[in-house]
Amino acid sequence: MPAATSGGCRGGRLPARAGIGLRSAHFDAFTTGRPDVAFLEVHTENYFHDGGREPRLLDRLREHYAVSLHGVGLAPGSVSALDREHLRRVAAAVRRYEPAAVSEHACWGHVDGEHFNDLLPLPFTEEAVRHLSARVAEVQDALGRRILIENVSQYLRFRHSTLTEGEFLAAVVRECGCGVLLDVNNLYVNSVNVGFEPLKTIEHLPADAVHEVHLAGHLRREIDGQVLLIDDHGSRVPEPVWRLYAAVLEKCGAVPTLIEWDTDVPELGVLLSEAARADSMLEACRARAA
Amino acid sequence: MLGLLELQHAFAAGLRGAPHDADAWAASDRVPAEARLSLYRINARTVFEQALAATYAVVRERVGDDYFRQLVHFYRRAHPSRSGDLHEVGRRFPEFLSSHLAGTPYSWLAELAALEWAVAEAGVAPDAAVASLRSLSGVPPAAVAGVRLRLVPSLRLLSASVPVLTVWRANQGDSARPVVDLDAGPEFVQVHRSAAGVQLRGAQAAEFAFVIAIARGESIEAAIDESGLPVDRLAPVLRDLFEDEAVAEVVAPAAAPMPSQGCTGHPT
Repeated sequence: MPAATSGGCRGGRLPARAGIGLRSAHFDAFTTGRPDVAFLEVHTENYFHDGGREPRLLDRLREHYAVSLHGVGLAPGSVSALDREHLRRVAAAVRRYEPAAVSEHACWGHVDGEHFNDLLPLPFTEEAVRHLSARVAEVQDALGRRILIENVSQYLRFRHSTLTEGEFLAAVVRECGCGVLLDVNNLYVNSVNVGFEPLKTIEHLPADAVHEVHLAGHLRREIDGQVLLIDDHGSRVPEPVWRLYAAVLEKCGAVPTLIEWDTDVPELGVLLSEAARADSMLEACRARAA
Repeated sequence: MLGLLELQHAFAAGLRGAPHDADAWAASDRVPAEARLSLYRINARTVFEQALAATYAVVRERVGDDYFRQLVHFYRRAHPSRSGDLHEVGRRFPEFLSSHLAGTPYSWLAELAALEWAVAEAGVAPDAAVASLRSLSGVPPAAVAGVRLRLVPSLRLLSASVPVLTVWRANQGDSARPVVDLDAGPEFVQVHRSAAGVQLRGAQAAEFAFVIAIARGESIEAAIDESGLPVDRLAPVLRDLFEDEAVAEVVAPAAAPMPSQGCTGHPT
């Protein structure tokens, strides 16, 4: 059953169970029924507008499911000034939907007024820690709440990075008091693309700051005979990512876990079966801790 | 070592395809830095194209994928994204097509694009309560001429020199595409959102001018005078506006108070 019932579940915290991303392909299923997922995540920018089908549907679902607002466009690591209008609209969505979690990405995305509408990576340096932390603090002040910051996928390594990804995220958490949304697929993709041991990164993470996990699929692409993994969110969670997820649960305990699927979205049953697998691992994690 | 600002400028140059040296700041282990950077360049371009294709599906279908991609390429160079919200990236596409295609046989595509942008805007415009025709029947007959109608916020009114609504309709669904005579003359289109979704309605010139005047806040009488709407067309035009759920409120003249009942209450 959904995590909450007709009493409504505005605010609060995400349940430590599995949720899915709410995508338009499944609107009808959520309009006519109450699929069994613990929470729903939406891209904040899809709810910037006040009218139309999507906001009305989310208003209704909000009474039955915990909701996570996941921003993809604020890009707080950009050195250019924070986009105040974008932040104002995020704040309006937070006021309207009273989500259990609000997240953004540890990335940059615009420079000199030009937006690339992508989650561009930051170097893992002290300077980037200071900059991102200051911006996240600004966002948290504007929203009046703590937000989660997600690690992004990387297709390249900056020469002058001095920290590991885990150290970088831990430092940002220390500086601004945000939480972490750990995308386990991104962690795996990065470990292959850039070449590092992902279990080491997990060791560096502040376990008590990880408040949500993302699981997704990726694509293999060969360049000059070398494999790079593309974070396309277009397939089932691969086995190596499930194995890494098990290690994350070992370190962080049972954490709300999202099955993220954005391209070639399959029928709802496929997402629910992936969510059920995550739920069974979360249950086993709780049993071990008891 | 590049500072964060210089690094983001250097990265951005690579994304734009401007002169850059990825090796100066990105490692080339296994795969060259430039090949790695190209993944971001391709992604940024693809995301932009997909956003445009989602909004301008009919334009894309009319010109084909390759030419559409070319148009988007030139559009992106002229009007790079200025927002972190992808829904905004296509805002200036009709204006771009208007100048880019001026003097070519494809110039009419700018008007088709304007219709598609209106459809996109109507889909997300603020909700509004809807007034029923009964609200108007409650106004004393002598006062009806002075009534003003507040139309729903999703309403968009487009006048096109070519039959864009016919083209738009011909390119919906999966059925075979009928041939549209682009020389068939102008079309006037009313776009708005009802409870059933975005609606498009074609109108005659005088009816369209009447609705434009009403949308501007003119009284029914003033709108008739301005538009030249034949008196016998008034009732059907008003009925269509109400039945289409395009009227948010009936505002009676001050001397003619409104009856208390008059709103169907459901937002569109």
